[in-house]
Amino acid sequence: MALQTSGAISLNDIHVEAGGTTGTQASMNDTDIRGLTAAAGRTINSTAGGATDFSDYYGATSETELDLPSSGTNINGQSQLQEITASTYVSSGGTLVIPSSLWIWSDSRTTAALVVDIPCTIKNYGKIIGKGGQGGSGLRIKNLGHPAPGSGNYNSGYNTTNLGTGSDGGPAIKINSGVSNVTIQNMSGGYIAGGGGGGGSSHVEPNNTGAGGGGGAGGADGGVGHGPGGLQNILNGSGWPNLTTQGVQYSEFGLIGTNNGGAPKVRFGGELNERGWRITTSLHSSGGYYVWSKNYDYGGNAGGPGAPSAGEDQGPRAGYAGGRILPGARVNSINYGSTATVCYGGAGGEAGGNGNSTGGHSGSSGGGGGWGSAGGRGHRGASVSTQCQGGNAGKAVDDSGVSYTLSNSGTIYGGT
Amino acid sequence: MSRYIYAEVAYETIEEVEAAVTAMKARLDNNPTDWCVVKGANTPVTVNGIVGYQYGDPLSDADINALSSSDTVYNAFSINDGYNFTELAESSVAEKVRLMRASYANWLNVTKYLDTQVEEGEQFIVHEVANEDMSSYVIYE
Repeated sequence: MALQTSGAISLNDIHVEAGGTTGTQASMNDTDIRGLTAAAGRTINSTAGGATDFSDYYGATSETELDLPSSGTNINGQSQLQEITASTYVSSGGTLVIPSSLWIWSDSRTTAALVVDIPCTIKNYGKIIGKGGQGGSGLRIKNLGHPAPGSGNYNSGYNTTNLGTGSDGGPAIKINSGVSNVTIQNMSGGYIAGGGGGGGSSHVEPNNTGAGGGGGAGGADGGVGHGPGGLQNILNGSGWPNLTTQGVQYSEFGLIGTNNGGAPKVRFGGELNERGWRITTSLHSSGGYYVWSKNYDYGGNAGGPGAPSAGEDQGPRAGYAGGRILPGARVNSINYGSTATVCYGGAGGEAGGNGNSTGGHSGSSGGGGGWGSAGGRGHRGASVSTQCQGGNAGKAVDDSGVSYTLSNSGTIYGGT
Repeated sequence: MSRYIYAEVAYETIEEVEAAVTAMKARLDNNPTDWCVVKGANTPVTVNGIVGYQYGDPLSDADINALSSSDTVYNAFSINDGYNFTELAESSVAEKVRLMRASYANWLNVTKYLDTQVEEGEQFIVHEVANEDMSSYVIYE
């Protein structure tokens, strides 16, 4: 709340506006007082020891409202700032105001959309969102071949712990370790939403086909599927993950092979206020070439749905990608057996659906979690003690173990 | 080879499934930290005219099941879902914990188990859990 614009004004008034406690010691030379933002038409000398006057503080405020970036930097028509740090915009003790039409977002699961690195107040009317976790990969481990029927040799990833686990969602806000006196005020209409966890993949006996998990809310890509109908030859080539030497790997994007040898389909996380999507191909009417187009069909509003893996020796499916719509509705998967309404991509605040058996050697991967929610588990069958796990929910506020003050009149998805 | 699946975990015998159901029931009755986090606060802080709270460390199962009323308000949020409730009165905490439990129990499908011993190409058989009444856990009223 800004200082009065006329009449009596005291050092105590100014000190309180700067974040101080009423009745405590202060001076006009204090950094936080000189750091207040002057009202229009007035100037506060921020230089230590410089001349200043009480009247300079009429209408002054500790709040700094983020300007909307120029329209040329909009993404999908949305005003946005990516991965920002509080100290870039306010001084210690100041208040950073995020306006209602602004998205603060991250494109990295390990970097929060907003990092709070100084004592300050965050007053949010906008949308602060973390990155979603990628769907678990249905990749077969390199150099392990198709198990021989009846041999019991199902070791091409089927029994490998953690293979196909969805990755965790990222935080919306992170308060750095050791930073005190932080206040987060989520105002009416404001959103603070952690990314959704990615869905686990399916690896179904005898494991020559696997479906990637759905991507979590926050624009995560679906997991790669694998199988002889599409990517097997590619997967057996060089350059793909080797579990022994590289550990569990996640795909950069979902891929699905096509049965006719055409161009691969690709599944991408949605941009701001956009569903997840994929590229589909169709033969041009001339018959001479394929046409690529952007298709939202099963893309998540928030979490992306999982997908069924087809039967043995059939084509694979990638998990569907997550979106960045707030709050976002649940999206069911493609209809295959009883899968469609099972491995759904979560709505805002809804965990992704767990995959199930789709009969015989088939099963479905888990759906991506909605905002601040975990991904669903992928179905591996009964031969292993645990299913392919979904990724953990991203936090709304990762506090690094420090105390902070929270008030909320808006919507928070995820832990605080 | 395991034959049954209950709450996403595979078991070899029906007796093991039934034991898992009983164990699940006990945890749903007594262990809210399986599905949610609850923190307490007692001193409001006013910043810019807006009241907020500094919530403390997560409470234990025992603390949540018997809130002490030493705290004024609570923050409760789900582990699996995105639910996050702030400034809850003590009288509202149990209700929100049950809400989050219902969502968790539905997600795990605790009223059903799967029999995977089927003919090739057939879907797994879904059975209702019989040795315990789990129906109340998946309903929020």
